[in-house]
Amino acid sequence: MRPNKKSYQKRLLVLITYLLLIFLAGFVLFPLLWIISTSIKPSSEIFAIPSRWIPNNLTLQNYTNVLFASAIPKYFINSLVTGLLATVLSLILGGAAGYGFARYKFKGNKSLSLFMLLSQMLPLTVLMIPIYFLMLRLNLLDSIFGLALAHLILTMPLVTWMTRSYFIAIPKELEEAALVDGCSPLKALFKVIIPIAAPGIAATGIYAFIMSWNEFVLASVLTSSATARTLPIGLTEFSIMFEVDWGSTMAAATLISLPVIIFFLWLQKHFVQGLSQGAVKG
Amino acid sequence: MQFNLNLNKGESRGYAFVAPGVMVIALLIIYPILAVIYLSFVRSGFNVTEFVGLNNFINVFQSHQFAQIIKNTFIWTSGTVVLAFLLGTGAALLLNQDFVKLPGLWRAVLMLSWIIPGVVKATVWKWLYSYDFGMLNHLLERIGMISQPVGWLSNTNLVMGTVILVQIWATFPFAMLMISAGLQSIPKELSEVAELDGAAGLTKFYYIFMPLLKDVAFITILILIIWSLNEFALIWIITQGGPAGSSQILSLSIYDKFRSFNINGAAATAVLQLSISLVFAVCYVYQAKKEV
Repeated sequence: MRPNKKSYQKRLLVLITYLLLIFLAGFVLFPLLWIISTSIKPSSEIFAIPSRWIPNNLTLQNYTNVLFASAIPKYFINSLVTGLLATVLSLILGGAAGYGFARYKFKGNKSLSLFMLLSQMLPLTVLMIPIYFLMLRLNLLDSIFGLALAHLILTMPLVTWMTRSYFIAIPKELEEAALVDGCSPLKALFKVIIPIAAPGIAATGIYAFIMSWNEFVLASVLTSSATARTLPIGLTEFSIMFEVDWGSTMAAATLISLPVIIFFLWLQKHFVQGLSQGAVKG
Repeated sequence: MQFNLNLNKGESRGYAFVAPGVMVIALLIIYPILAVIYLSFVRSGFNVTEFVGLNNFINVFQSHQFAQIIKNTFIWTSGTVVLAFLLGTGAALLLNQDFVKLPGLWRAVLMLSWIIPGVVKATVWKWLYSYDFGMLNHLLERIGMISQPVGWLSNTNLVMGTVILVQIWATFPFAMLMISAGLQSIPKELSEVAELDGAAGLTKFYYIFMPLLKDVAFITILILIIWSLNEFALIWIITQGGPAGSSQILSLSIYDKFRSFNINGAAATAVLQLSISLVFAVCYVYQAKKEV
């Protein structure tokens, strides 16, 4: 009798587990599917009652609106350039700092690297006011370069901290061997260490890019026109500009999310690893 | 910071590598913190700036919305953190069972609500919550749970719960990931031995998993607290803190004051928020330090 009872209990457990997982997945996916559903509906169906998941007349009108009759393409370029600038700058500066923290003993090493960790946790709404006046004084308001510079607040601590852990994981003996072979320390870094750390560095760069791509607070304070506005600002503008044009808004939302989702699924392993190493800005 | 002039070679190289990055951080993070503290103690006039002591703070404390903002911030933070943590831990425990097929796929799907851009999260929920045409009201009406549309965003009693649900949706996957990582670091043998000794289900969870998950759970909760305290875009886009300030939290009130050119009031509020966030951030760094 006992094994039977046990297998019955086990089957019940399996059933309950899957039911709960399906419920959770439904909770996560329901808004996301609704974005897609709304984005492919003609406006007559968006406000139809009862609303349907799959439209009677599937349309790409909302996407053509967004791509050809709005400021979104311009914002896309702005987001791309801001993100690339912030990524490259933080990879150079933060990567060098990460290497310094990982390899050299010096006074203040520990406290400085811990400050980097702390600075990820500071509220942007607090930093936003002085950053605004700083950019005003530097004449960098409403400029892509100014915004990219401000985004270093997010990306620098992340890149420093993540590259630090990649460099620590590479045995010191590799550099020492290169030095014995007559390499200069910088040559050893570029020819030996960086190639080994390259996949990690690339993933970190993409992570930094996504943070800049998603950022809203600084972008909304520091930009005021299509010169430098980025996609997140564009999306909020969109829902106001077209008033109730939810179809176009959801088409824009789809287009903004796609690169993030693709990168994320592709680099899932690195993201999860980065998380456990303390690189966690949301 | 003191620079030792008699550096040996290794030290000076170390400084050379970190100096540019540290200077950027000093300009973009340390300078703004000092500046915001300065701004909170002065009144900036047209041409003159005068020291006003604690007046800006007193004004913030005495404003009639202050009590509501603090109360909202507390409800928002505790509500989102507790529920996101419990939901995330539950999801992690479900996925940790051996018989679950394709755990990687489930995990990837459950992470989607966390990884998409914050503005997209806020915008789609604003649309779902819409009074006349929102999917949520349609759905609840169709299954008979409500007979009239609910004013998710216009009812002052409901709106806080409304935005809290969105933040739970957006952050529980993070708790799931962290707890999953914690569970995977527990040796399988330990759990098998416990089962041989007759421990199962909740007993096993309580005596075996809980003590081993303590550290990772603590870090996860700290991060969730800091994220909720620092959150801005999510509430701002959905409700702008309304109606009538009923979903206003500290970070939104800084932005409001800043936008209405009350720079010193905004700075005083910012210093207040910074002090609260710092308490948790320092705990986080202290805890993380143990593991680095």
